[in-house]
Amino acid sequence: MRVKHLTLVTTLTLMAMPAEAHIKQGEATGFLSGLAHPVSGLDHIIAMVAVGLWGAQLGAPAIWMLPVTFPMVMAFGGFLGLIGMPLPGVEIGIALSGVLLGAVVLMEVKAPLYLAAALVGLFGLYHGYAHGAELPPGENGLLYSLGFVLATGALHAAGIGIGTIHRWGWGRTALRLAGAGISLGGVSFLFEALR
Amino acid sequence: MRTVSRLAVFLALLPGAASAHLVSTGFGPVTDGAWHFALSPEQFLPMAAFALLAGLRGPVHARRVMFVLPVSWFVAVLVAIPLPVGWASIAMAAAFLLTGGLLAADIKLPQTLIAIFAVVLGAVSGGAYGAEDGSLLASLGAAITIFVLVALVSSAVLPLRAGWGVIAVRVLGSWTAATGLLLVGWMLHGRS
Repeated sequence: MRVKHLTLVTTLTLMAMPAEAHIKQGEATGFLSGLAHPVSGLDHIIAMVAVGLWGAQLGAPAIWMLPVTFPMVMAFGGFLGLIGMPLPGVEIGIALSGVLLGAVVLMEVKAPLYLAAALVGLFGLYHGYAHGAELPPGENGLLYSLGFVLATGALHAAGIGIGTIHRWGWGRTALRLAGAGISLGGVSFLFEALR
Repeated sequence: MRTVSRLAVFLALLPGAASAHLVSTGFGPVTDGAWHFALSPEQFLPMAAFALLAGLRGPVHARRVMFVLPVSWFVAVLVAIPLPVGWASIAMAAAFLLTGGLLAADIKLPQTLIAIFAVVLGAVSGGAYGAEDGSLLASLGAAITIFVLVALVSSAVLPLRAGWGVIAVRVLGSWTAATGLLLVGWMLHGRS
């Protein structure tokens, strides 16, 4: 009787599990991981929100051109980070982006579109590079990228949304104060990067 | 003992369910294929972006794409073009980059060129899909989903002619292209 039970138990234990080749497991983690990456560091958050705030201060066409171009430039930076292209001073560049973008919001600089796009694009490259170089291994590339791009876009949208208070006098003052705060945050990140 | 031995052999030989790439809805292969397509962002998103592009160009473009895209996709699956190894990933990244870039730039493409792009996108996506899962009824379900997708998405943007609506659609295009660029990086990263 014991032998019978032992045979049955052994067979059941050794039974093959269903073959679930290529089942899409853990992909939600890849998406969430990509979504969390741009919002995982305050240095990234303040710079991306500052882009939206500056766009709102500059008005059309910068207000829509910056959020259209920034994700592509940032993705190009991510691409460079992914393929391992060396880019010196990444942390300093990221910290400087907070300092300078905060400063232009504080001073409400009315820069020409090409100059604004060049400045934002340059910093976008550094931010994207940092994200690309720090990618977690083993994630689903497509879903990670989707989450990453969506989070970046959402931060810009938040900046533009906040920037709509620019139409009121008190709003303009509040935006300039926010720019001062962003710039100060950038200075502290710069000290950390240079230490 | 003999009965137990037979039972043991029977259990050991029970085949495990091979669930490779399938979505089992219980409503048959057509519905399974439709859901499989709808749950495959690598197939779904470039087509949605292309539908947005066609919708922005107007009803004539949208109507043409609505028929050309699913038909070319279905034919590509049926023909089952032999694909080199790794081709599907490259095609996927290229589809994201091309459709997203065209949408972000809001390029005024003529009808013929839009139709050619639709044929190419359908052939490329269908070829990649066929290499993965090319059963006839499931592919038919997926093709019907593409038709419905293009009809719904392009009709949603048809009334947009200027303003924030168009800007939001173009932003979606830039996100699609950015995703494609990152995908190229992922592919090269995997090879390095």
